[in-house]
Amino acid sequence: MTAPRRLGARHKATVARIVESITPTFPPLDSGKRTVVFADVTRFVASQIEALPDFLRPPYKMALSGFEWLAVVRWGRPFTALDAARQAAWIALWSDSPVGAMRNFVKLIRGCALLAYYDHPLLLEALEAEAGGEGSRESIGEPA
Amino acid sequence: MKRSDAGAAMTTQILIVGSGAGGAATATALAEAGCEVLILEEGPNVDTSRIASNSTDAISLLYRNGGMTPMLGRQSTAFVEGRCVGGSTEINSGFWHRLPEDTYLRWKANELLADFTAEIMTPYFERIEADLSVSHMRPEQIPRSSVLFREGAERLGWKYVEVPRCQKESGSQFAPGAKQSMQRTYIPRAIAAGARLLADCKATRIVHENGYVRGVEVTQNTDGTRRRFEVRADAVFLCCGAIQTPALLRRSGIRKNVGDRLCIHPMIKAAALFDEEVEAHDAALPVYQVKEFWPTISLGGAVFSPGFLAMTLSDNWTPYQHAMQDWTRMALYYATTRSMGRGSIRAVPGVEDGVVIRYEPSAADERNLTTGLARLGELLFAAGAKAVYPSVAGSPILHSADECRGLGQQQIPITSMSLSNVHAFSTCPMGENLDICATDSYGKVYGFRNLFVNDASLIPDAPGVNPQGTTMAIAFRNAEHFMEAKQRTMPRTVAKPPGRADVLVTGAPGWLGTRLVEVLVRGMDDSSAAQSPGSANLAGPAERTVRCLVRPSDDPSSLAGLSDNLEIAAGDLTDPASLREFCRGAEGGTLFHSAGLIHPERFVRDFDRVNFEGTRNLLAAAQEAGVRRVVVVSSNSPIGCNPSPDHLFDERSPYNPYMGYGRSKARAEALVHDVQASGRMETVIIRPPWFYGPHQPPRQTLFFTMIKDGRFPILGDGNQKRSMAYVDNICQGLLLAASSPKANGETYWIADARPYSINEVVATVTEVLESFGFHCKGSQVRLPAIVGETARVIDAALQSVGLYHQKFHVLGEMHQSIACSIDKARAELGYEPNYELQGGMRASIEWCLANGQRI
Repeated sequence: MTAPRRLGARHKATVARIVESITPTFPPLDSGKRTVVFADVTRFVASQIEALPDFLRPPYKMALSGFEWLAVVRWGRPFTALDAARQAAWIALWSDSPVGAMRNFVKLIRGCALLAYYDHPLLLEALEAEAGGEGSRESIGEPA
Repeated sequence: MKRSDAGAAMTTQILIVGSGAGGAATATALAEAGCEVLILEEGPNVDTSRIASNSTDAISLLYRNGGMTPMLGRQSTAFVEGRCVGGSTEINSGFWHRLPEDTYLRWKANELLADFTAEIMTPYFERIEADLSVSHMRPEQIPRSSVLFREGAERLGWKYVEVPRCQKESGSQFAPGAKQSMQRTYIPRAIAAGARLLADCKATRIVHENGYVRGVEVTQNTDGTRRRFEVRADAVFLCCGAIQTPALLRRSGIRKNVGDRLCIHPMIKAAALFDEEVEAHDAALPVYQVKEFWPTISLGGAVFSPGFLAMTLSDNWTPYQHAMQDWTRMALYYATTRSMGRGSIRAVPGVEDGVVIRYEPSAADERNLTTGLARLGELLFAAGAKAVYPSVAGSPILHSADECRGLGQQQIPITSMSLSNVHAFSTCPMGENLDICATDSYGKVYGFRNLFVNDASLIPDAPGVNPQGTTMAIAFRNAEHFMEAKQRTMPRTVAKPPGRADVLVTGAPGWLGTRLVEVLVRGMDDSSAAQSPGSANLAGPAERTVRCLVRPSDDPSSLAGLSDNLEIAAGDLTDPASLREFCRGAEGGTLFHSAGLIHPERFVRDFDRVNFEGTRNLLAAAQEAGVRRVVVVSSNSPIGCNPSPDHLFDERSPYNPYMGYGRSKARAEALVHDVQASGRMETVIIRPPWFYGPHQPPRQTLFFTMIKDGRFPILGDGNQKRSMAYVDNICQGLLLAASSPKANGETYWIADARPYSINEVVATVTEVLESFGFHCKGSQVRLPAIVGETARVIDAALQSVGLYHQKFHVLGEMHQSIACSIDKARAELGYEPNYELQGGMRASIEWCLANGQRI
């Protein structure tokens, strides 16, 4: 017996919105490249969820559904229908939750998304360009 | 999957499951020694020299579960291993360590690991180091991030080492083809020596029965098509790594000490920001490790890419993410420890890929990782770091060595740490300590004759260093030991066409059969029967050619070295063709048929299949070959149980078969009578009751153990009688039956001189055990006879629906008397038993102790 591997369209849409919300704006990319990078990162994150061990994949998919629809309780709309600020707030609520499973849910997507994002060839190009350019290295200031 | 096909079975001499460090080394050793080898690999056969091993493509393609394998516990640990041809050697950094000296002593003390010393293992390490081009990096190639790390250690006066790697060209860390992984070394060598490799083939279950592995069930996934088939093999080596090997064993019902002691090297990372550009992403792999706190804690540099940096920062992404802007001045480092917690591997029932890995970090792990992280921070600041970003949820950025020391004074909760791990061990530990080890000191799984583990599962605990060198060295050692044992224990196999055979024996290497063969080829120590004038037709022991029928599933090593005139014929009573080969050339000879099934695994029908149909097949083959006389070993069971303790059966007692076994033996006796009546072959039936003596099976040793521990159940008053037969007494009776003209067409009870009461048997065994220094409990478990009667009724009910349960069967007989008279054998054959209970039991226990059986 094997649990279904593929994510459904709704799950993929949820993943795509989470990826979009948590990926940083550094380094700057033009919109065309950004679209390509987001699509690739989303595909990678989805494939990583699909690659989870058989006994973990179904609960993770349930968590994706929960993440999507529990937002209705808080905001009156599912996660994918929220505006960017509320999406970020909803993600923060989960990633800072006292419940370990909720934190781990976001941690998995965030880790995979950041890995795929910063190791994407277009990002590496942009990083190299930034590193070679002027003014990209200000002091090591901690964020406000 | 598009569809599922059932394929035909494949066969091979040696089946190796897994192609990583253990599997590739095993395949090379065995293929180059001339064995027919088939390697099964679950993952794809991808040319890894074309893929950077840290890329997202590699993660999707080469890593198990896409690198998403969690070790569950209070804090989950991310575990990464390869799933492709070459296994984890294709995705790791290729670091090379020999096993630390103190480890040998620890494993000898804890696991009673035999023949495992630095002197024995060093040549294996040296040989592999040459094969894998293990070397240090040239100074100009050492990356700046490593140089800074070394300078930090030097400033603090901490001991460090430069770790060599399996790498031919130490250029960029991911230079195509540079790392000498299994794909570039041992797998091609094994294939060149004739090994076959099947990728995309997952072993789903080990097919085994009575301690013999017939083969492995396999699912092959190619091009969206799923095909199932079985690979049959003479010997199976499991080399799927410390997670998948125990999972496969447990899924196959093999669980004793399997998957119970997972040990790991939990690791925590930190990113460091320097003033200067360290260009870690362009650099070769980090090379230094700080061993100042080893074996508890090791510190070192980690693989770097902007993506890995971001992942390390992701636990505190909001406050840490600005560091990405300085990625060219950042590098990654780690602190790791030898695990002190305990983990386990369990297969999820009904889920093909379901493996649950649990690792529960201990308080010591928590402490060591906290200290390790603090030490790492101190070192990095000594190396010139401006900031350190630990992968601990909620941790602030560290700005000084003092802050790091302060961190070390606290206890970082394990639940805040982001833990990862790439090393797993000890899930099938090897050694002679039966309480904790799953395999012997050479990887042979306890309870099995042809099943071996040869990967990191065998490593008894966390060694504190990268284990790939140790895994390969152990694999070569064990494979060579397997070959030596194979050559030493395999008796001469009968050539085709077989030559002449004076004596044929079935039932070797079983209990009675092995002793009979010994007596036939060497003579009996204290009995004249083997050389008696009446046995002239058997020739003298030295001249006899004795041929034994041995099932492919049986281990013939107990017959090895007995005589140059001893031949082994592979075959089975249920395979008439093999019996014709077995009997060929035995015209005018003697056949001893002692093979039989006493305790089937589950079904009563197996009694008839072996005891009745097998005897019919054998008698037909023997008649066809012109065998002169057949001596058939029957049992007391066709006659049943005595009506009272004082009653003795004799050869005129009527048939009253006891359950399925008795019926099958009675039907076999009827076949013998038919053959006798046909006049085509002389026949003799020998009925030995409960026998005892050397070469005994584990169930008889358990009988001693139960008496020693006071757990032997005595039903009723214990005065029920049992005739027993020491194996040498039976052998004497068999030889006399074979040679005596009077015996033709007769049946004889053969046993010790008199029956014994159960009380006497138990008291005698107790006395003998105590004379060997065993401390025995004075009393046994005494139960009313009704318990035995109840067991008999349950046994009968089960057998009536075709099911057999050994414990009910044995308990159901325990309150019965089964005793016989040997007067006829004495009168007609001149049989005179030389052994009585005490001497026979003494010899049995001596044999147990001399052959490593635990009482």
